[in-house]
Amino acid sequence: MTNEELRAYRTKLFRDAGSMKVKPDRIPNMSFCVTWKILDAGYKLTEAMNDYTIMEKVVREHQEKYEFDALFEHGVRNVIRLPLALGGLTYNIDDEAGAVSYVDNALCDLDELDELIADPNKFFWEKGMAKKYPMWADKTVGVEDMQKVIMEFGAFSQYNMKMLKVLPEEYGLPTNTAPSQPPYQGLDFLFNTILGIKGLSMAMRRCPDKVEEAVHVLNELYLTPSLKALEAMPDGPFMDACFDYDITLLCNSILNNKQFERFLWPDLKAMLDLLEKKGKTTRLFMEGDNKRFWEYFADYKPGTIVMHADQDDVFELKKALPNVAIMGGMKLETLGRGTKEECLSLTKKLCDELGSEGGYIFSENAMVSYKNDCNPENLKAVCDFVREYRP
Amino acid sequence: MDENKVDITKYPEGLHYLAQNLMLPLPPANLPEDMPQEQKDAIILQQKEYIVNMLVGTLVRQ
Repeated sequence: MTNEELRAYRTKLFRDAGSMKVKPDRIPNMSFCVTWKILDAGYKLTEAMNDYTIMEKVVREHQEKYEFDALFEHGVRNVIRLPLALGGLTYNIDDEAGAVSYVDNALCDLDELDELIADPNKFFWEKGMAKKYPMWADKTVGVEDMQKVIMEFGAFSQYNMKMLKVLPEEYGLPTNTAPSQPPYQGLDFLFNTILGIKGLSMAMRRCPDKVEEAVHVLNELYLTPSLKALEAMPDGPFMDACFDYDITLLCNSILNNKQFERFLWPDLKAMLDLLEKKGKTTRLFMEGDNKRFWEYFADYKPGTIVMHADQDDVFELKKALPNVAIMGGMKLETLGRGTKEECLSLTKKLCDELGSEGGYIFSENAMVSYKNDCNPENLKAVCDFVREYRP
Repeated sequence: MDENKVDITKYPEGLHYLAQNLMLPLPPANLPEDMPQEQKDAIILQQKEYIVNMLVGTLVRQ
C-alpha cells in the first residue's frame, strides 16, 4: 500500500468501527500516549517540550516503533513554550521523576464570580492574566512581551502544521478529528482553570445559581460558536478523519448525578443531539468512573458516540450501552507492570468480546504519561497482535 | 507598563492598543477594491482584535 492508500484504509477502519454498521477489516488501534513517548525515545521531558525538532523525532520514533493506526497526540498537548514566553509557569515538570503536573492555580475566587459573569472577557484580561503572569500583575508587561508570545504561537503553529502534513504523507496516518471549533464546555473551564477542583466543588454547594450563570456565559463565548459551526456543516460523516468531533471532559469526575444533570448534561445533550441529527460521530472521553451517567447515553443512535472509557469496565459498558461504540480497555497497570502474556491475553479478550461484531477501537484506558505506565516491549507485542488479529 | 503609558492590562483599552501595535500574522483580507479605505481599516482592526483576544484566551487557559 502507498501511504495515501494506507491512510484511507486506516481511516475506514475507524469509520467502520465508529459507525457500528460495518465490521472493520480489523480492529483499529489508536495511541493514547502523551508524555510517555518522550521518555520512551530517551529524552528528558524538558528537552522535547522546549524543542520542536526533538519533539518531531519523538513522534516519528513512536510511530516507527509501534505502527499505530492513528495518534491521539503528536506533541502539541502541553504547549509549555507559550506561557513561558510571558514568564508564566502553568506546568511543573520534574525530569528526575519524568512527570508533568498542571499547577492548580484558580483564576477566580468565589466572591469574584459576579465579575466573571458580568463580562468574562474583561475578567480574563484583567484578573485571569494577572493571576497567571507576574508581569501582567505588576503591569510591567509591554508590547514587545506580547510580540514574543505571537512568535511562540507562530512556531507552535508551524510545528503543528508540519506534523499534520508529515503524519499522513510519510506514515499513512489519518487525521483524528474533522476540522471543527473545539467544543469547550463552560463547566470544564470552571473546573480546570477558573475555579479549580476545590473551588468548583465549593461553588456548586454554596452558590449553585452563580455556577449555572457562569456556565451559561462561558458557553456563550466558547460552546455556542462551536455548535453554530457544527450546524452549518454538511450532514453526514467527514470521511477524511477518524471522527467528526472530539469531546473530552474532566469535570464529570467530581459530579454526582444531580450536579451532572443540572450543570453539565443540558449543554452536553444539546451537543450530542446535534451530532446525532447531523449524522456525525464523536469520540467522547470522560475522565474517571462514569457508570452513574451511562443511562443518559442510552438512547443515542448507533454511530453517534464512540465512548473512550477511562476507569469504567469496558465489558460491562458494552452490555449496558449496546448503542455506543467502545474505545480503550487496555489497562495501564497491565501494560506497565504485567507480563507480555498478561498483556496479550487482555488484548485478545478485548478484541474478541468487544470487536468480534465491530464497534470497537483498541486503545489505552488512560493517557500514557509516566515511565511506569507502559513497558515498551509489552506495547510492541500488543500493537503487533492487534494489527494481525482478525476476531 | 508600555513606554507610551497605555496600560495594556486594562480591558478593552489594552485590547485596542495591542491590536494596533502588534505585528500579527493575518491572512490576506480579500476585501473589495472599491471599498473605502476607512471601512477596510476597520475590518482589519476588528480581525486583529479577534486574534489578540483569542491569544489572551489561550494564555489564560494554558
